[in-house]
Amino acid sequence: MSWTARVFLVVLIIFIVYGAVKSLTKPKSLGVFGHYRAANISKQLSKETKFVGRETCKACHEQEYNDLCSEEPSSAHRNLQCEACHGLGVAHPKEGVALSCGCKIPDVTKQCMYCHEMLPSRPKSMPQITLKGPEAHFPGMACTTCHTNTHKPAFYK
Amino acid sequence: MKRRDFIKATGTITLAAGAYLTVLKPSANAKEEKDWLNGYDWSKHYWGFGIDCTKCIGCGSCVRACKEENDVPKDPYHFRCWVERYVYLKGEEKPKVDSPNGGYDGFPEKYKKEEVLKAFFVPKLCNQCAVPACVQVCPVGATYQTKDGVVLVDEDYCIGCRYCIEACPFGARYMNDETGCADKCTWCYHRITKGLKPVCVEACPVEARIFGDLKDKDSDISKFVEKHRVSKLKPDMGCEARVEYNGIDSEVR
Repeated sequence: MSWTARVFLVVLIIFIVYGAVKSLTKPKSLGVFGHYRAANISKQLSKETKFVGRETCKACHEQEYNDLCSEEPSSAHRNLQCEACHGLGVAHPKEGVALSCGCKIPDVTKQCMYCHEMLPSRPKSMPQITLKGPEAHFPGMACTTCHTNTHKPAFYK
Repeated sequence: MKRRDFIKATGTITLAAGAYLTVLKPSANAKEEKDWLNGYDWSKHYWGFGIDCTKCIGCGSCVRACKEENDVPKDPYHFRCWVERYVYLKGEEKPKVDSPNGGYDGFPEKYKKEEVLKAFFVPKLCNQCAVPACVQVCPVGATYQTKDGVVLVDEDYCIGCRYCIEACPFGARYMNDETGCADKCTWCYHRITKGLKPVCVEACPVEARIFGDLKDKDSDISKFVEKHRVSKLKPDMGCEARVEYNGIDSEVR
């Protein structure tokens, strides 16, 4: 064998080894769509959804659902989703576990104040109150003392 | 070279090339494109997102819902979705910007009404850029753009080098210390591909977040873009951010 053939053979062996290692280590779905693994898209698509939506809650909590969706003028919460306040409910109906906030919200006043605290950055159309200072709106009282049904909050003029 | 050697060499090349091709070829076409998409057709959609800052009340419902839906660490440093407050005080040129815990606990009453010239909230999330910088810098191909316009992260392939976090002009990415991977908002890709809306859109009490398919002219987002004078963040960066904002200042970046 001449020296050129030997060099050629060595290069060839490197090429074959490279090909074999690549085919063994390269993820199967790499390059189906582009420079990434197509298998990851399947994984992303099959992730569990945790937010169930208020139509699901209706099955057991029909009274609350009807209060929430009530067409009465006092019902300003009709566009709200249950889970916006109560926390996400994916495991709750299946396993009977509490929602992440608990079905009973621990601190109702705090929950109300997330949206209704007086802030200059809030749009004026949003009903807002403050619990401090001279303009305080019944400080020290729970919101539910007067606005008894939070799903269909009554307004007093 | 002798004739015998020449024949030997050519024979080896042919055999080797044959072996190489047989090993490589089956893996390339093992599964067809649609088999990887679980029956979802991504060529039929092009998702779009809009934010109406004139409506946002800064309650943080989106932040709380997002953290639960997407298993984001519940510390004040990691967010897929967060809310910023911009406050212009009287006599000051630049706005004061804050985002305590990303808005997770709402916003504290910090400024006196009389001192404030104007103020508003700006919810932020991944812009799913049309020309994403994060995808370009990833050294292992662990982040990529889907045909329906969303940028995703392959958690099994990410090596945690954080280049993408550095590259993102919007700070939309973070390091998830639990998985050791970069993570970011996907516009709830697992929800939108099932016909649902992203969880932040669902949780928003004032409909300040708008989501839909830009290929569908009757979708919420198409109508939102039609009706409002919208702008996008950092157009000068050239990454073509895709979240449409209504009612923001040029100070918002």
